[in-house]
This record gives sequence, C-alpha cells and structure tokens, in this order.
Amino acid sequence: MPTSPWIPLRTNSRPRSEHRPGAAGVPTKSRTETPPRTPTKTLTAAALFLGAVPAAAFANAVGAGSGSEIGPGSQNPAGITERVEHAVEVGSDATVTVMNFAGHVEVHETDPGEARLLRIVGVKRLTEERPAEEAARLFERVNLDLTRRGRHFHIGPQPRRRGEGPPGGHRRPPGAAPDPADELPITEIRAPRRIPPVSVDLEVWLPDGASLVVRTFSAPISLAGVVSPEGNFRLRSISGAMTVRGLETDTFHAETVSGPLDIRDLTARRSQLQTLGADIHLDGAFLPAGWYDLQTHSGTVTLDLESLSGFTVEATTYTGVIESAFEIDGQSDPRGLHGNWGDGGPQIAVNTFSGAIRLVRGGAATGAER
Amino acid sequence: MRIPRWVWPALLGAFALAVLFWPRDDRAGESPPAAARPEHPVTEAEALYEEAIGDIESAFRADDGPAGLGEVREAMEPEIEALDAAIAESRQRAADAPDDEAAQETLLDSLRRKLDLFHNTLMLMQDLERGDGATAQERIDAMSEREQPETG
Repeated sequence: MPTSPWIPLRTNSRPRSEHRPGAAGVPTKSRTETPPRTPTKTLTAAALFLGAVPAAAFANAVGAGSGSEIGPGSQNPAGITERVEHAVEVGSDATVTVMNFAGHVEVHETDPGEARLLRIVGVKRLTEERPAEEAARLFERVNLDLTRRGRHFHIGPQPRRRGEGPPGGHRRPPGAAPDPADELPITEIRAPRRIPPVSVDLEVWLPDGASLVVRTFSAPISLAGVVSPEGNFRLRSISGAMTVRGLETDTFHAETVSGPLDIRDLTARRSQLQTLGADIHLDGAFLPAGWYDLQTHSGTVTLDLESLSGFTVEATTYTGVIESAFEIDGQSDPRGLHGNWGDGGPQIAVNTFSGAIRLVRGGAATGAER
Repeated sequence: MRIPRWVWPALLGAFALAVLFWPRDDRAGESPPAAARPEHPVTEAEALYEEAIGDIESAFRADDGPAGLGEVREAMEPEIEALDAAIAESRQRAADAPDDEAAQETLLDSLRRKLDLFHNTLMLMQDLERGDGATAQERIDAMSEREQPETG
C-alpha cells in the first residue's frame, strides 16, 4: 500500500486543563460512569510505536495534551466511549481539515491567549449494540490521530483524492482566480475505508487566521464566533445540518444534500451555499465587493438583506416562486429577477429548480410576490 | 428562438469533458458484497438525487419550457447515455461496498454531475430565451472549468 504523506503529530501528554472555556460543552462520559481507564500516556505511546513514526516527525508538536481514554461503559452502547485530545501550535496560514462520518463537529474560536493553538477534543461512541471488548477494536478503526502535511493539519479519515471539486453550477465572480480552497490536500492512501458503527463528537478550537475544511456524512456541523479574515472555509455534508453563528472569513463554501444551511452573521467576501433539497438561510455583512452564490434544487432560499444599502441580484428559478421585499430596478418575470437595488454593491446569485427564493428585510418578505 | 451557433460546441465540449474526466474508482472488487444499510445517509441522498433528476428530465420533456430545449435534449442524448452508464457503474460499486466511504461518495458525485448538467442546461436555455448572452457564456465557462481534470 502506498504510504501517506501525512505525518502523525505527537504531542506531549500532560493533564488536561479542567477549567478550559468551551471544553465544558464537550459531551463526555461523566466521571461516575467511567470505569478504571487505561493510562492515557500508555495508549498514546503504544499507538505511536505501532505506527513506527520517526522521531523527527514530532518536531513540530508542542505542549498541551494528547491521548485517548477508553471506558468499557455499561450495557448501553452509547456509554462506551473513547476520548481523544490534541493541542498543537500552528502557523497563521494553517489549513485544518476535519472528516467525520456521524456524530457532530463543533468549531469555536480559540481561548484568550491561545491564538495559535489548534485544540481538538473527540469523543467516539458506538452507534450499535456491540460487546464491550469489540468497542476498542471498532474505535481503533476510527483514526483520530492529528496528522500534518506542510501547513495542512488533518483529523479523521484521510481526505480522498477525487470528487472534492466545487459543486457544479456555481459561477466564479468575473475575473476571479481559482479558489485555493478547492484544492484539498492530496493523500495517497488507497485502502478502502470502512464506515464503522461509531460516531464521533468532535470539538475544534480553531486558531486565529486558519482555514478550515470539514466533511461529514450525517454529522451536523456548527461553527460560532470564528474570525479568520483571510481564511477559506469549506464545509460539506451529505445529511448533516450546518449552523453558523458568527464567522468572519474571506471565502465560505457550504454544501449539503439534505442538511439545511442556517448561516447567520457571516462576513465573507465570497460565499457559495448549495443544497439539493434543504433550505438555506443567509444573513450577515454582505461586503460591497462581495459575491454570494446560493443554489438549491427544491429547498427554500431566504436571504436577509436588511443590512444592505444596495445590491445586484440575479435570481432564477424554474418552477419556484420569487418573493422580494425590495423593488429591483431591472428585469423580472416568473422565472427570474435580475437587476439592482439601491446603490448596487454586492453581487448575489440565487438559483433553484422548484425551491422558493425570498429576499427579505429582517426575516420577512414584505414586497410583491412574483 | 434560434439557438446561437456558438452554444453548441461549448455545450458539447462541457459534456464531453464531464464524461472523459469522470472520477473512476480503481478499487473495484476489493470490498466484499454486504447488505446495504437503509439508514445510511448515502441511500437517502441517492433517492433525493434520483427524484431531482426526474424533476428536471420532466421539465425537458414539457412543452412550456424555454424554446429549443427539446433540441438541446436530443443533442445531449449520447452524453446522457454515457453519464447513465457511469452512474450504473458507480451504483454497482457502492452496492458492493456499502461501508466504503469513497465508493459511496463516487456514486453521489456521479448523480450530482448529471443533475448539474441538466440544471445548468435548463438555466442556460432560460438565459438565452431572455437574450442574456453574457450570463449564458459565463455559465458555460463555469461548466467547462468544473470539468477540468485534477492535477497533482
């Protein structure tokens, strides 16, 4: 099998801070439910030994804690968990990629004084009834090692080589260069990756300035209070819902098949949102030179444009309806709305097949329905 | 409405690229067949894609669509057949390996490409019907870019 260019990162074990803000939100097994644990340091050392990782590969790891803990749990399969933690300093141009099948992914800003620290807490849980002794074997198949290749940091199964391009139908803004975020890190791993009956609750504290790529199958993705003005954020899920509450970045791309996109308080120069059948809501600070592209087949698109003094819109649908709280100066018909409002500004493109398109002020489309 | 002459080579070029650079899963046969999980998100997604593709195909057959749509649909027929064959191949691989994340995603990618082609073509015809050649050209450019092979 070809070897992976990704380098596992080892971080020195040390007791985890019990008072870390945000960590309290991690759904972990309570102390009282936890049976005697295998020492964290022993497990980590064993894993590293088995991985035959050269010592030089550890040079970039710094401080903080890393390791895993397994609890045999009770009769309830949800009670069998394994907790993994990583913390490593990264550069301001780092790209963090996260892959998760089921469970959830929560992304926060870093804690004060930890602007360069990438911190990840993962809790693995069984999703099917299995004997306790099998849990450890299943958990082993869900690799939560933190790996590095250049400025890219990755957790979860390795990203695949193909099929990660931007969704079709999206148009770049005129003259725009290809999006660097479209070029995901490439791995040479070709072995089939099985999807075990394990869900992982992942919590990520993202360093200032970092970019982020998240891919999930059914795991919802939530992101709150992250500031990365030069960053690229690319979230993709099949059925997981996506929730954003406060994100400042350069480019933002979110895509699902059936998971709704609820994006609020977003500041991005470029944003692409796409679903197949789920609703999309977008509000935030639309930048004057910004470009925003929303596409769905049958979901409803709601754009809250209250904060704007003007915009250029190109909304098209085949059988859906278009509602606008704004009097658009341009061309309109049952299948399209094209033109400007106010002093122009950001370019907004919305495309649906049967889904409704709603341009609203503060949550309500009060204008004429087309 | 007469379809501008330049649209045809652009459209056919985009379709040809889509077929030529279709992502191939070179690991066929490595995974033993297993029973599909009905609760798998990919199963649900596949059904949604099929439904959406059916919606758009109906629009292509309908009489009230943009003028020239039927003509475009006929011209697309060889490409659509090739896409369908690729989808069938992906579906077989996904069925053979229901727990293989890459095989499942390849199937969804295949379906998405077909949906995107239909969707973009429909929107393109609307652009042309509206006389918006600039937007139509932009859309074709985007479709062509989308189908460029990956490097590295």
